[in-house]
Amino acid sequence: MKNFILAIVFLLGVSSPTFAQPGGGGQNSEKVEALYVAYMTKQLSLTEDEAQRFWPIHTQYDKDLKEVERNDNELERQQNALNVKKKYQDRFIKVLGADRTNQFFKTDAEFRKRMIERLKALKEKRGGGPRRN
Amino acid sequence: MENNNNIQQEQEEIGSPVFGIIDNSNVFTVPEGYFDELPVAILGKVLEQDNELPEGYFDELPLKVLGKTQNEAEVPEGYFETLPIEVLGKINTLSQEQTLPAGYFENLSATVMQRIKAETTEVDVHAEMKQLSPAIAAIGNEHPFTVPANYFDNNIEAITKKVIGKQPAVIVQMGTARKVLRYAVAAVVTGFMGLGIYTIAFDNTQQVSSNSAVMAKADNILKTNSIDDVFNSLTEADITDYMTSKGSNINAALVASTINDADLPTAEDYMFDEEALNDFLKGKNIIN
Repeated sequence: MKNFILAIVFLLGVSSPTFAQPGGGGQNSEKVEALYVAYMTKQLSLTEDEAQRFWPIHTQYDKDLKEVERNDNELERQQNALNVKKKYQDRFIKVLGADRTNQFFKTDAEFRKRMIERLKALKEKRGGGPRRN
Repeated sequence: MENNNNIQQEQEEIGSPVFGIIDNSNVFTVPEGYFDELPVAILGKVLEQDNELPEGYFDELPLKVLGKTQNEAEVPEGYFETLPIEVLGKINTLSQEQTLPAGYFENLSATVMQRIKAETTEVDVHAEMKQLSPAIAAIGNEHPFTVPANYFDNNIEAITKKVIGKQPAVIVQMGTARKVLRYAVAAVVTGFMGLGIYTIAFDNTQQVSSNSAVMAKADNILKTNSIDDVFNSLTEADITDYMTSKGSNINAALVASTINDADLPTAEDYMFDEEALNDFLKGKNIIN
């Protein structure tokens, strides 16, 4: 019986973290996520049909990219990120064509740059409160 | 030639002086032209003999032979017609004559064995054994090994007692608790597996719903043409949350975006002040 109780406790312990998994950013990230989708759709002039095919691939791309971003080795991180981008390039081309795929990568970087700039501006406006590593 | 001389010498030594004397020349001679006339001479001799057959001998020969055969092997009339019946009749008569005694086959083996026993001259086994192996013969008919009385009757029990001891075997039965535990463990494992599947499915559902929420919001932004408005409404938390969710290192990104080679402190700046870089970063609000 002791074993039984131990097993239950153990299983509860193992399973609880699965419930505690974060949904991936919450409301705040969802807002920027929506902005990103809108921004991309506009910049790339995605039709409804294209969007339907493009975003599922992009979701997978995002997931893979997030995996490699965790690497602390900077050069490796950059290399792996580039590998992911190259890996998905062909799949994007099938939907968008070569030119717009190129434009997608540019726009993606641009969006990110704008985010950083906005963040910097907000930090400066706040007059300090910057973060230390 | 030397060989020939040797052979001659050898023959003389062996004791055949006659052969030894004969030299290599052929000792037999025939008159000249003997073989030329031989066939003619033989044929002449054959013809000389009086072997003449009576005239017409071969013409009458087959008839004569046939006549002899017919005369000597005459078959009575209707012989072959009645032959099978006659043969069968004879067989029947014979089998009738040779009836077996009642119960012949039943007792056959016993009778045979009896005969064998009766006819076999009894061999004196002991006498033979004495000759072959006196040691074995000395044993005689007696069984050389003995066991205590009733030895085999109690043997198994006695052995079991000796081996296992006096205690009876312990029978372990699975208690109710153990049975319950078994099912409980099975239930937990099944439940856990189900939970795993549910979690994966739930996670996916959540992702899908989250995706559709994002899409709906994006659609709304596009419809209201409010990209810039939304952009300008973003808070620090919005951006940091988003970038964290993408796995980005925000500070590194900030530093990278801030640093412009032209803005960086020059070598002279460092000479005047060791804190040049720190001051620069502070000025950019990257460090305190």
